[in-house]
Amino acid sequence: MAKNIIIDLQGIGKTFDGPAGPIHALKEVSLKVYSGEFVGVRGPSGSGKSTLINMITGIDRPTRGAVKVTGELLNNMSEDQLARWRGKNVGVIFQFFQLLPTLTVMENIILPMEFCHAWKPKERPERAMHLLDQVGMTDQAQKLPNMLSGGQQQRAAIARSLANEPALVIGDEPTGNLDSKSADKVFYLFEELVKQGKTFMMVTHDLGLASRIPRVIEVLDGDLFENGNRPK
Amino acid sequence: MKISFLKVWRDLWLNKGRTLMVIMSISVGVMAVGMVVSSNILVTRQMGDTHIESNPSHALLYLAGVVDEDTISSLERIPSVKGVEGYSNSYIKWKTTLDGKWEDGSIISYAELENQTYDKMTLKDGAWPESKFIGVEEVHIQSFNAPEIGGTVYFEINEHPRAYTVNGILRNPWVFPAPMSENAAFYVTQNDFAKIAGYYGFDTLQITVPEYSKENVEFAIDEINDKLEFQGMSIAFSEILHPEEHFLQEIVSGVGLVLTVMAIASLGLSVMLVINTINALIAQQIPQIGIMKTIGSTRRQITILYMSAIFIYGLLSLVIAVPIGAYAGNALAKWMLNLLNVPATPFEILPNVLLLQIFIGLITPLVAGIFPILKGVAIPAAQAISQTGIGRGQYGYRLIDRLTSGIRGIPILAALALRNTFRRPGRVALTLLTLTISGAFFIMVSSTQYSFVKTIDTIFDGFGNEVQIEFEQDQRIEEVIPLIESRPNVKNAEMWVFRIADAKVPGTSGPGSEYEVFVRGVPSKSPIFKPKLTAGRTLDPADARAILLNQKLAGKMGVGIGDEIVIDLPDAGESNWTIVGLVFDLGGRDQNTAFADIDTLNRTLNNVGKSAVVMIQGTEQNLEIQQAIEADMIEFFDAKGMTIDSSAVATEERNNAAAQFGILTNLLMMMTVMMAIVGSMGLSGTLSINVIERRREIGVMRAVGASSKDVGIVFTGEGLMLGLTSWLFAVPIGLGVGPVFVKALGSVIDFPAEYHPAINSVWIWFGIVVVLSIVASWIPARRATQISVNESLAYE
Repeated sequence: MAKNIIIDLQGIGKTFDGPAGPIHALKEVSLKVYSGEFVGVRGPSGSGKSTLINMITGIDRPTRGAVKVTGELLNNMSEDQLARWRGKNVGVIFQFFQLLPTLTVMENIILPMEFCHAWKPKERPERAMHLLDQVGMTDQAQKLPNMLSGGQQQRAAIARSLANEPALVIGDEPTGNLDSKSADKVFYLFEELVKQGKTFMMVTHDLGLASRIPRVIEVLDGDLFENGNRPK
Repeated sequence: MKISFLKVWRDLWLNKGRTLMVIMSISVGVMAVGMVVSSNILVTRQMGDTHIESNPSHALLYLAGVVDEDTISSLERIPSVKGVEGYSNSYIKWKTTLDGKWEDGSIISYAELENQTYDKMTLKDGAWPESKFIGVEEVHIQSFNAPEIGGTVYFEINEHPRAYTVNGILRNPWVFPAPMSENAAFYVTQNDFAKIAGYYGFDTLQITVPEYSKENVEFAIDEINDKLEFQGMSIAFSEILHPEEHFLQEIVSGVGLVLTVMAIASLGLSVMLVINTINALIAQQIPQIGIMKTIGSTRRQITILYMSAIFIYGLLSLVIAVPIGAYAGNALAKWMLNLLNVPATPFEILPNVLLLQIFIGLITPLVAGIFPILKGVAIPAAQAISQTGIGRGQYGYRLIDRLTSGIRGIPILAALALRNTFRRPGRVALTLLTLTISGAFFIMVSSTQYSFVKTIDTIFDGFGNEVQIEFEQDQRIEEVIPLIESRPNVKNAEMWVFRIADAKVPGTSGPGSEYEVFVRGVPSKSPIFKPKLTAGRTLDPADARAILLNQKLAGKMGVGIGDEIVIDLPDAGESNWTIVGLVFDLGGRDQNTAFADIDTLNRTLNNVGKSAVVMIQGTEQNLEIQQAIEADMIEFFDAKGMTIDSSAVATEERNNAAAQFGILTNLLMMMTVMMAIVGSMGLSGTLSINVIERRREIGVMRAVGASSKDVGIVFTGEGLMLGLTSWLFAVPIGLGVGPVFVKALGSVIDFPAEYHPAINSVWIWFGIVVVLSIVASWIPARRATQISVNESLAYE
């Protein structure tokens, strides 16, 4: 059975204005990712990895080219349309976890459901506990993020990224701020997600983890390479 | 509760310091408005109510002489007059112990005190006066230590004390406490009045007309005067009163207006503080906004979240501002009413003021916060999320950055404090504006106080007499002056002539054409009379019927230098006088004075060489010498059988006048203090926000070896830098706008004060701003010193 294209970047470029002139963070790159794929993104600092991720999540817009994710063309969407689309279709995991410090772990997970009106209000706590169970965090549900270790916070952030059952989960160096043991546990969760049918894309500097990812894209000076070639 | 609103609540609760800061910022403005508006309403309403309750007369006629009840009955038969009531008022000497010192006072008597018709007094305690039993003015018990019920008052009758017992406490709407009044007032029966004052009858009339209008009252006064003149009497001067408006309402409204302006200014400062704090709050929350956008929140949802937070700030501020505002408003009203001898009302929360406070407390912060929120929410998610860590805000690109970083050779901590101070230009501008306005108001109000005192000094210096005595009857000038100048402590003396007359522009007639004028005959070459001229020249002995006219009266009459006016002097008829100068003085009633050469005036009055008023200068200018001269004069002339009707000591009068204006300027200073509190709160808030924003930098400083003291110095330095910069702005603004403020206030209270800048206040504010800056920096600086390296570098 042919798999669906979930990420379809068509000649996208991103240029920033810097004090010393324009900076080409991405140079007309194209990329296709299919549903159920586990894709890694590697590259040195400043190569354009985060810019690429931001294009895919609709957090930022390309200077040129078309971005199609989960079948939607993102280029013409408004900020609010993008936010609502993202909330429903894409789960984002950050390097620094980015849990809201004044909400408990469970409340952090319910928040995207509330924003996107997903699930009935009464069902949301149960759903949150289910997700926390998946990441082994049910006993930490009522704690504030600052009371947790980095690994625990990241597992909570993963649970939050899954709140609205997105088809695509994106991690921007999700293990970059964790010790190797925690990173390993978190990576195992990602593998589990892929087994469950999620499409997962993550940026990583960790060569060991990258070696466990079936498909790895290299980003270098704003260009994408796969097995030494530009991806088709 | 929805999770998103739970976030709002937790943000408020977990940032108690910031929450308290915003709530206090809103509260100060809302409280100031509540206090001033409440007191304005309470005072105006109570003044109006008590005025109407007293059944006010339409005019007071002060007679040159006394009338009996038959005359009053005959006046009531004049068709233009509805009712007439008379009372007597005489200056007396009183004391509470036989060996005590005589005090100046007054006694007031009506035909039937308990059955008055107009401007009715109220019996507050005890009984109405009866034979040998007197009433005392309620507010004078405290003001002048007058005895209460059961106490004894000795009045001077034929140089002997006679005891009367106080059996009642009364309130007379026309009598005020000190410093608005100089002497204690007592109420006595007509017979006792005759025994104490030495005459029987009424020297003042209260009248009403069938239908009130100024023209009708003026017409009635003219008819009464005609009838009195027919009987050999006359009206010395009159005062028309509005039946529905308290006679002091205009001044009270003026003061209320000034206070309202200052309350609105306080509210404005509060709003700036709120804008600053909300701006900082949003700036701090931008990464969270980015995250919320990432997980699916729309701009509308985020806007509603933060607007809800502001709404809660507003609600909580009302909890503080409403009760304090109501309490302070009632207290201020009570204080003002007490000054005006109007009974205070019970504590009251005014529904309209409550609604106004709710409106201001809820709407103002929302309006102040909407722009920072919309600005924050509009930041794209990518940019919002990336705002973590050191180096936010692109330091170094702006002119101010280049200027401050160009200052070299100063200690590194001072350089850091200097450069950090101006890193957030918007925030700095609002903080500076708040502190600058506070400082400018302080300097303006101080200059107002100083200007009032200096103006009073100028006026008293212009009338350089230190002691004034007035004989009961005219005396021969050439006989009296040598007698006075032979007495101890007297440097020189001269006699003046006082008359009350009517003035008008030649060729005018009818109602409104005549102006009451207090004419004073003064020696043209007087060492005592050196008034402040605002135009023209002083009097010259060679002048023929030249006059100096009060500038305010000249303005009312529409006349100036070189113009002629007609003066209708009692017993002398009309004569034409040429205005040679305009003077600034506070004499007469409502500054309606005119000064002529005494000899010229006396010739017009057919009173050559005579006068009743003596102006004396002492050998030394101090209160003790002046009081000694006054006492000596009374004793000396009494022994000669020449009765002194009244006497006054200039320093006492000057102090009293200054005290009266002091009431207003102290009120203004109270509002200024409130502004200074808002200003220091703004400074403290700004520094607290700086600490929050720069936790990572503080961590880095700590990591490279900064001690707690070093970190504290940087933040205290920032506070001082802001405080002193605001001082630099406040000084020119305060001194520059001061003359406008003094002029505006002067026109409100009808006192054309000259502007004198209070230079001392500039340095006092410097001291205050330094102390405020250090105090306001202390909490944020202390918080900064408590940040550990781990905590700050891990901070998100």
